[in-house]
Amino acid sequence: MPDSWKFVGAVLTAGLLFTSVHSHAGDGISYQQASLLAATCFACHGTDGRMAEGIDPLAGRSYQALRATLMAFRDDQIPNATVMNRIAAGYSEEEIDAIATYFSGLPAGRE
Amino acid sequence: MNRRKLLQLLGAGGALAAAGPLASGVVAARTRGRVVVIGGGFGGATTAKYLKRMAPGLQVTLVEPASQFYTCPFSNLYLGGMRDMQYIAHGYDELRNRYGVEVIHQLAEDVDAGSHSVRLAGGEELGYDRLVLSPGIDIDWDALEGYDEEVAQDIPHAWKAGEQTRILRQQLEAMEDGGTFILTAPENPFRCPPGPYERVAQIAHYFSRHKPRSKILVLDAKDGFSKQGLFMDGWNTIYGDMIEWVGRSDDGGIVRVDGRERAVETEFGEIHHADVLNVVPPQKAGFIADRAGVTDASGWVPVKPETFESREVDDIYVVGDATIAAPMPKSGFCANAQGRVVAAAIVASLEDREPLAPAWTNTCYSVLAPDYAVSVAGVYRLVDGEIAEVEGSGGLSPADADADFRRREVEYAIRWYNAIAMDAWGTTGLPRALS
Repeated sequence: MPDSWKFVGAVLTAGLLFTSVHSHAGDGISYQQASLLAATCFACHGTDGRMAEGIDPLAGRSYQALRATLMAFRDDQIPNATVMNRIAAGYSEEEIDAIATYFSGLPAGRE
Repeated sequence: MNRRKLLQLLGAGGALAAAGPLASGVVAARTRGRVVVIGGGFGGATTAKYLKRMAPGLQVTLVEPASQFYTCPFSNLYLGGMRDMQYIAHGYDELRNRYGVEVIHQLAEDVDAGSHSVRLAGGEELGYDRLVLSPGIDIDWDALEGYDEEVAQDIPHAWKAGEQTRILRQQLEAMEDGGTFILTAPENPFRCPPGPYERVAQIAHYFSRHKPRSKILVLDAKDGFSKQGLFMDGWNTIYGDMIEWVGRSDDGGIVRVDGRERAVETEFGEIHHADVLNVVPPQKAGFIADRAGVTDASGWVPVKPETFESREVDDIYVVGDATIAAPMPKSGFCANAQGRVVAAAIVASLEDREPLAPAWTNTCYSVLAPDYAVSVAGVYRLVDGEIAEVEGSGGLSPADADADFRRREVEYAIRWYNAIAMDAWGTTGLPRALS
């Protein structure tokens, strides 16, 4: 497991990052729009965020973990991040929420 | 056929199926129409796949002369000895067999936008409701004196991967230790802005192991280049003074290639002789874009930022290096990102809906050595109708990163390649068992 996920796991356990109530992507971003936003992750994480030889699979991870990780990347709170801090900084909290909802709703498994 | 007739044909007076997301599962099965995609690189392969994922009822035809596509990304790693040629080759089996894309291995010779048809080299005509051009680049053979297709057989550009890349590597292998390799880099815009500078690092990697007394000279038509600080630090850290870079102000711009002497002449008349010479020449959109009437005087294709439909010709969409999409660079990553957005825009237009708000990203890794890579990232949205980088996002790997950071970026570069190749063609290039 990459360090970033361990870190988030630890933070979640400690309850530090978990400040937001789960809200669905439907709040402002349609499911179709969410899928197009989430697709910006596919080039590294595989189609549907589901590829063992890519970078950390995303499909089927919990909404909470995805959202917390992306927000932590966005706020540059993940130690030793290489590029995800730079990328996540380009997404609004609402977009991150939509992306987390989207990937958490997909079944895990190999592309 | 106009949109109204098409919709009547679709029986769209009633309820069209809701458009599907990019994921499999919920899809717009009832959306009909014929889309022809010309070009099977990152942009074309991705667009064809996602059209079928979003609307399986579409008839999608991909026209690509080559049965195997060699990616420019990682072709520099082949030059450096870090990747075999067979592992940057990708075919079209997945598009054909899993997604039901009709793949025609022929050259598309002409487009008649008026009658909505494409003529293939074999004479066959393909009608379309929407056309996607992903033609990549052509070398602008008129732009540099002394450099033509024949000369390029001996003085390769290697800026379309495959045979050209092989020629360059063979010449590097045949060169004696102590020789000089010269790469000339063009003005902006061109395919893969960091590419020339990654290439010389990879060739330095090869030289350092096999021909350590050799020298590398970069003659540049620009006074600055992508990731310049990171590249220069990396070159120096890893390869000492093996690589010398000369910018335009120091007479780095070349005006002539001498094929017989294997030399180049600079703006101020200096002649540089090379043992191996690699001219990265001026470029333009692939020729079919010209035939379709979508290019402007620059040789590239202006597009509507929201959908990447041509600004000039209705129902023709253009993706990838051929487009004018700055601040997005001409990269495989961007072509892939644009391909998904274009697929969604075409499905929306066939369903007579407004397009979704586009979102694109880019990450370009440059691998300087087996344990040393740097990256640049960008996140792009539509702002006031134009493509813009999201403020405060993207940017370069830190200048002061430690060795472990640089090593991890190599690992991510390799994993990125696997993922994007899988996304576009359904193969990583590597045997899966070895992953």
